[in-house]
Amino acid sequence: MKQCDGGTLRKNLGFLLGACARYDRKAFGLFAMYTVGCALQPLVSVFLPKVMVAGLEKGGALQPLMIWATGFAVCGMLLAAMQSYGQNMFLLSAINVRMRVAEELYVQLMTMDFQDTENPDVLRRVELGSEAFWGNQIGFEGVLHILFDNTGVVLSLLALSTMLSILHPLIVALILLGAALSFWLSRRARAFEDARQEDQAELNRKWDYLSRTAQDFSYGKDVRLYRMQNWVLNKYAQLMRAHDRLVRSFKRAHVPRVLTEGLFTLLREGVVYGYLIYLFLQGRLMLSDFAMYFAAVASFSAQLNLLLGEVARLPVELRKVDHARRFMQPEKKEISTQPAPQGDTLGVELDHVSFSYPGGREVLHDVSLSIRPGEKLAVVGLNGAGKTTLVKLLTRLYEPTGGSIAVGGVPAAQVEKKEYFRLFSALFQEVRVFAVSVAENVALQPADTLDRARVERCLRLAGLWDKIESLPGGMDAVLLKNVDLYGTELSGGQNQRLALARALYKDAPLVVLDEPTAALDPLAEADLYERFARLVEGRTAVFISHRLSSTRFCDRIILMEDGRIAEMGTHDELMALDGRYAQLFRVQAQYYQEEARKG
Amino acid sequence: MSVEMDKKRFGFAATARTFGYALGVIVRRQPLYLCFLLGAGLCKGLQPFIAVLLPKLVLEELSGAKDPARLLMLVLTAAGLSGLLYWLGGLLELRRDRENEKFDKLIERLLAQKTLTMDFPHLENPEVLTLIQQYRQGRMTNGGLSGAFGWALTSALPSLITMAGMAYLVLQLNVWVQLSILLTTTATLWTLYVSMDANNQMMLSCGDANRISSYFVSVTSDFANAKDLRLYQGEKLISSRIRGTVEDMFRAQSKGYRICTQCNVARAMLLQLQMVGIYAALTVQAVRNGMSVADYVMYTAAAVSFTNALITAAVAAVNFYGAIRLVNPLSEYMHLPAVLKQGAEPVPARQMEDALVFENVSFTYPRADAPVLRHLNLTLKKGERLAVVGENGAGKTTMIKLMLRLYDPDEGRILLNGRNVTTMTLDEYLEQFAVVFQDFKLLAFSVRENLCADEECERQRLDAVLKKLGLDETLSQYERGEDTSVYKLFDEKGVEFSGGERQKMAIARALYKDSPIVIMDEPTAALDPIAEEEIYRHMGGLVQGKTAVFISHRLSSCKFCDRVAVFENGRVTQCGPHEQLVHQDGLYRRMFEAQAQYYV
Repeated sequence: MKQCDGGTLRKNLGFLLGACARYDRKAFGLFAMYTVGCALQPLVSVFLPKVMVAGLEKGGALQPLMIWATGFAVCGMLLAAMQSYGQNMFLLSAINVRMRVAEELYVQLMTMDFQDTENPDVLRRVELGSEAFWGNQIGFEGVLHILFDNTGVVLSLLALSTMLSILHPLIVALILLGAALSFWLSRRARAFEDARQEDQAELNRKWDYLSRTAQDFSYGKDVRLYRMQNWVLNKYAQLMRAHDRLVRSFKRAHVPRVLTEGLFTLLREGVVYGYLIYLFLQGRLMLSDFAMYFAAVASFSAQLNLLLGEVARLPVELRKVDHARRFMQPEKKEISTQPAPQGDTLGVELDHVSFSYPGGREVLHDVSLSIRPGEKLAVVGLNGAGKTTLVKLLTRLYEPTGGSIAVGGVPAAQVEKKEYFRLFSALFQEVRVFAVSVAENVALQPADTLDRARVERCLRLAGLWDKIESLPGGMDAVLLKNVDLYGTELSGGQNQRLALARALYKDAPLVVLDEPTAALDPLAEADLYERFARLVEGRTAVFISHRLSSTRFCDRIILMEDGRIAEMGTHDELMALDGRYAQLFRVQAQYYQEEARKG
Repeated sequence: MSVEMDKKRFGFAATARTFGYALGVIVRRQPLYLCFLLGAGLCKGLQPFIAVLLPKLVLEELSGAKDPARLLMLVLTAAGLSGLLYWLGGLLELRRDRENEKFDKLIERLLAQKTLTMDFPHLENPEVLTLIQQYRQGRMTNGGLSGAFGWALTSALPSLITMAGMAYLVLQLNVWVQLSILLTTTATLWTLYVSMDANNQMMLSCGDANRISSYFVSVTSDFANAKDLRLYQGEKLISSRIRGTVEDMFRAQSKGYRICTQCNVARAMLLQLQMVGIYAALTVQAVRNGMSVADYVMYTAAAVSFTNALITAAVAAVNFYGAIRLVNPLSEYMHLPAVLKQGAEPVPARQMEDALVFENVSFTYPRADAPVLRHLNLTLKKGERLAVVGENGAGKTTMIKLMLRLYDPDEGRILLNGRNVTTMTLDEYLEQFAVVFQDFKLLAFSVRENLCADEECERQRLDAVLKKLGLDETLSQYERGEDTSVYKLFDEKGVEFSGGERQKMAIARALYKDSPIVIMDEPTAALDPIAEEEIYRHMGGLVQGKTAVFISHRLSSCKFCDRVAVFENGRVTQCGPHEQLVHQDGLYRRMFEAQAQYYV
């Protein structure tokens, strides 16, 4: 396994311990405390019977025995307290560290290259890496706990094995052999499981999909109307059968281990008892030793099994940590050589730009385009013509695979992405609303850093202020029902106004509008168009639509077809050209024009 | 949500109900699970007896007759029994674990069944959504019901058996020893109780924090947000919320956690004290009254084993209770009552001229202030094509929901063929409708199954529908044809069909259903103008012989409809053919002109 080789192991442990050192140094003190308690405590339960029985055997007085007992009680309680306190406080510490590291992961998720959010390989790593933060026993915290818990166990095993070696080294050897065999067999069983990991992953994926879908309330209408219940439940039944078959084979793979462990239990008990009896009959052992050694053997083999079980889990959990680490510490770093261009109106140059998805076909071919500062450009075309890809390239959500883009004369690729993003205000068809206050939704900044007067001004300009003012809490009202169960849900048109306010608040020199009114009613659409005009006033703007109605207020129209610019010009020029654009326009206009002629 | 409500939801009575629900499921559907659970517990619970009894017998023999044959027999019997119990217990555990995984899936399936079949209004109730989220959260924390049974109960059962057996030996001891055991055990149980109480407080003080933080976490991994988060640099807003929620949670729980820690530390110390105490008390008894070493060894082992088992059982019981309690929302969810009116009469066979009538229907969504529909009157005539237009939020979609009996009207009634719809059985009633919803959903199974909404299909009907929409051509591009899966979510070899193709499938599904009334809610929103034009050109043929309702913002769709109903503030304000309405002063003309201005 790759994550077990020295270098990777060191990196992963460094990642874990580094996070502890960064976020919670107490953890190391707690570790020392727990380990001492854990290592020494078993000795109390081993030596206590010995001392007591020895005293009784000798028929001695009560008093020294009571003194011994007091000593044991004090030591035992002290060690137990150290162990328990260390463990409990570490639990908290580990959660704290995990949460902080998870937060780094979340930020990474929100800022990683947009293109990676559509890359299945990256998404897979994200999924596996996120698993590292899902709970107390797995991944990040799981490995921390395995390391934390077991160092003391190792120490106490060393002490016990020394003691048992004095009795007879072969007894230790027998127990170790049994444990090794059981470890080997459980690894084999796990290897059997690993070999079927693909089957399992497929089943899990299907199961996840099914339960997510069946539980998704937004499917409710279709499910009821088309009576899909039996269909879906049949799929459940099929998957349950397949899953049970898989589990059965997994459990069967553990049978040899169980049988071997039983055999070694039998051998251990027989040999140890037999040998102790033999020693006693030889007169080399006191009755008190008898009890002590027996307790020691039981404790030794129990702890050994526990340890090996944990050790077996380590690679599994470490693998998740490895995925997380590799996602969070990407190898490539961005180099920026140029500051972002300044100014309220910027021109854009696309120079022989083409784009293809990784390993996919080219979707944009050799597009050259020059947008003047302050120009309003409409991009039209059928679905799949490459309009949205063009916008994504312009905003650098995608990077071109050929050619280059320059904004305000500065090559885009040389500007730091974060700075580059500042240049754009964008509105998309689907508005993403978050369960935070209206004001925070507009500014997309925490409440303490945003400009409330500006939020209000933008909401007014977007035509949403009346609605917001009517909400209890005004611009502090929380949207959606995810956080506040009775939060406000805006309608489609209102959401689009919110997005407009967001764009106005940002007030960037370049504006991109990607079909923002496709789902709106005609009056809302007409009203929004007027407000967009305000947004793009004195700015450079690109307006995408497959409805041609919007092209009228643009200076120039480009028609895209199959990833190329097929036609370019003003509305009148394109109509005169009588090409694809004219055809599209007529299809949409026919109905309205008929009426106009008649009316 | 109120702490009071959570107190009740996570209280004892609700927990008992959840336990009853789980037990009922096991007994009725998976009795084998119970057998293996008990069997494995018994084997494990018996193991300590060997460790307690054998030393006594051996030591007795050693301090007495020292008969080698008898000693050998003892050792062999003990070792053999240990091995046997281990084998049996181990095998039963494997079987039990398999049943446990099955149980986990079974519960998920039952949950899905409830979601798929319960009355629709529950699905739009935020409280119900909260139930599901709380259940998911609890399941994540403790593994849900199968976690509770597979983990806590599994460790409680053997301890109970051990405890019961050892109690017999402990009862032979002198009263002082028993008293000291009683005292320390009581103290230990008390710490357990206090920490349980603190735990309870902690859970309640958490309130909604878990839900809220998991919402913000999901925002980061829902890449539909990716464009906006990057372009508007919203990462600080979201991550500060996650941090804030987590910190709130830590703060709210810090006191409870401190108490729990104190209790745990006290308990660990008490256990040590108890062990030494047992030895000391028995030593006193042995020295004062005389006791053989063999008996001493046995009784100390028995007493320690008894108290350990007792504490283990108590801890396990508390854990079991805690784990079950966390999934109380599940049983509450499973017991959600029916809220819709259900009749038993069949749908009238005779089709009337006024196919469907809304009579003075008013409706307000639960938990909303203002009505969405206000005294709505609307008649759908048999065989006609009705266009429904209006501004967003005017009540068009709500009207459809009432028509489909997803909700019952608050006032007024809806008649199908002259009969009040609430008198009819819901299943048969819904057979009358085929709907393409605005947010229609396809499942990630094969195209064929999607169109038929089942695994079985009627061949001829399917072929006809595929042909009508030109889907046969689309599908012929793929190797598996109509068996091609939609999306790659379930079947990795599935196909991500385009929005337009999916919309055609949704329309095809509605046509396959072949119901007398067809409803299309924005059926062409995802299509480009050419494809839209094509659909509308064929729409007449598609819905031939059926009664059809079209909801659309594109007024061009009104062109081929017989009548247009204009919705304004929850009622119909204009109704008539397009020709007539476009010349009337009113909303329709304003809307039409708003769209037309770009084209003339």
